[in-house]
Amino acid sequence: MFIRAVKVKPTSPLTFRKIPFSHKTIESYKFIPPTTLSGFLYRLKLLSEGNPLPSPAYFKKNNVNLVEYYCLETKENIVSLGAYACSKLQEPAKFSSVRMGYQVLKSGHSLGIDIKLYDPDYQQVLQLIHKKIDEGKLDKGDLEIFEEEAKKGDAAYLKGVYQKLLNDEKDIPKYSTFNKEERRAPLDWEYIIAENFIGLVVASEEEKLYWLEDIENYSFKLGKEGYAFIAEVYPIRELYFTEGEFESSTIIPLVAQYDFDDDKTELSEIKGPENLYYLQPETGIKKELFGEPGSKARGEYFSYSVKGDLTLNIPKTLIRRLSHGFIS
Amino acid sequence: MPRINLDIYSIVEATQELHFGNQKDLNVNRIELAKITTREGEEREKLYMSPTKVRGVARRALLYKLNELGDENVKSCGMPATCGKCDLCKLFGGLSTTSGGEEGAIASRVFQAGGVAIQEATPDIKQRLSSPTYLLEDGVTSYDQKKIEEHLKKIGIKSGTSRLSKPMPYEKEYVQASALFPIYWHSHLLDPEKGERKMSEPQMVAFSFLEMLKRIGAGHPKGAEIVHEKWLKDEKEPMLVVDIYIEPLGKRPVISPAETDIKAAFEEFTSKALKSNNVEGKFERYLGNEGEQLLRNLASGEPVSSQFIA
Repeated sequence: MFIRAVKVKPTSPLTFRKIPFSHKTIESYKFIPPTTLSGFLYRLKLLSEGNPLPSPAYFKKNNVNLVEYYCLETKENIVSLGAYACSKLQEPAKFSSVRMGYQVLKSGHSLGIDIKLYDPDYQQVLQLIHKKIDEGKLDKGDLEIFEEEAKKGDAAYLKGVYQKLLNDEKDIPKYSTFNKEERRAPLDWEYIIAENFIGLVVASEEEKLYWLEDIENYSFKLGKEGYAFIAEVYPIRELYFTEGEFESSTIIPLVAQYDFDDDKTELSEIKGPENLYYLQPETGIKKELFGEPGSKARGEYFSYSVKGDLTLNIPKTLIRRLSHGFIS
Repeated sequence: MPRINLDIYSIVEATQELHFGNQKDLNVNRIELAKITTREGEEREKLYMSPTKVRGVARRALLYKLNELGDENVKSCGMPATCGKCDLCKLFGGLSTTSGGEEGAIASRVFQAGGVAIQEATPDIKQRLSSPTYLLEDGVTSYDQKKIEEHLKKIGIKSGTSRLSKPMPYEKEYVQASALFPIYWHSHLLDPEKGERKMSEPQMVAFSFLEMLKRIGAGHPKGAEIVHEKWLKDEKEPMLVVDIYIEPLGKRPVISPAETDIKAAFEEFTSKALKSNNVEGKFERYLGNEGEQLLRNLASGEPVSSQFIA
């Protein structure tokens, strides 16, 4: 197996949203999760080739069909291990701020408490309804409904109906379906700041990692919040493992899942741990606990001398866990 | 014409105190601060002009401008309830989650970054008070709480009259004037042709960036300006870099958020800004006055000298 590292340089503070999701706080991991890095690098590949970006799909199913995902594992047959701050001195700093959430606290149509750009009056709404009737999108019955409902409503109701009709709503919303009172919830939003992250990708053949040198200096949005570019692409290295005690520079699986006859890694100090989703061909997505970077273990690891005194310790168990089913 | 990428790198100065709100402690309005780790491994807090706030101000400016220019679709849009259909949503992104209606998302193609101040400074705390001012019938008189309360009741205000007639001083934190913030914008795959739109996409990016500078800051005072220095020649010009490109062939002038020395930060920005090659058909970089001229012409729909924009 072969490995290649890239230097991911943020141009802004970042957020990688932790699971389980909450509507009150948004917490961030202190590293770039393997799945996030995978999508990011694949997107940069498309940009560097001048290819269009895939349009966002709206996933509503519970069963994950991996083929629908645009990432390195499904499209390029290589595996992302995530990206990590390369030394203790460069561990990301975290801070948290108040941000206004998008969700209103009740369901239903919004009375449009957002900024008032355009306030239609009763006549203007009628005109729009007549226009929609001429286009065949509404009928006379809808006009009668509006005339009744407008007696109960007010300027906010008129604006709400106008906006809905401009957005091709098929019926006149009734006044009762509008919220009379709503507040947007403030969130505690966590950000991390770091100068660099070292991203890691593994493959079974060296040739599969060649294209990474073409994405140098390419950039895009990364994570839930933030932006980054590839500042440097390092040479490809072959993987080999040494056995001993080590401090992991990456996340490390806590639970031995697979029956590997030579997998005897034991953790002596667990930082975190963190719940994380990763890709797996059988179930699509799996959630598991991982020790954070800085966890200590005894077992097999790759001591990766990236450049100069920049060295990363990568546990064999992580490589095995994330590449299982994708590459051998 | 092919779709283009447009990056703006700038160092922006708070030309007077600014308030970027975070949360309100009891009687103190706090500003948002960013935490960084220095190269020695210590944590510090720095003044912060959050890119999310920059984005909100810019998007709002565009919303008003498109409406002013006669865009009909944008009337259905707003913040935070984006419509997902207008030209603004197609560039800045939109999320539509009305149950029963059309659900979908458009990814943004313009991103705001940077915002961590260069110099180390703590927030200024000032005391503020809103002094009551009303037009009373007996002309200009000295402040009299009872008279004001009667006046308020007369004009129909029934509750809260004691609060409106006798204000409480409160404290407010500010970013100090002269704080320097690197602000970066990145935008991708912009359509240089105007087509059916009221503004072309590069025009929308340039316009909202410049407008945002005037309006940034919660409440009042508002406004920041690109800092002017003798960074390219012996004449002050804005510390601004504008890249228009198909392939990113220039070194990005990004300042480390851990840097606290202004001179060192300016040197980092300058040396990186000068490392690029204007390659025909692939990459153009505009520095200083040239960059500002380009953005202003672009924003107002005037012709520009770029090979990538008609």
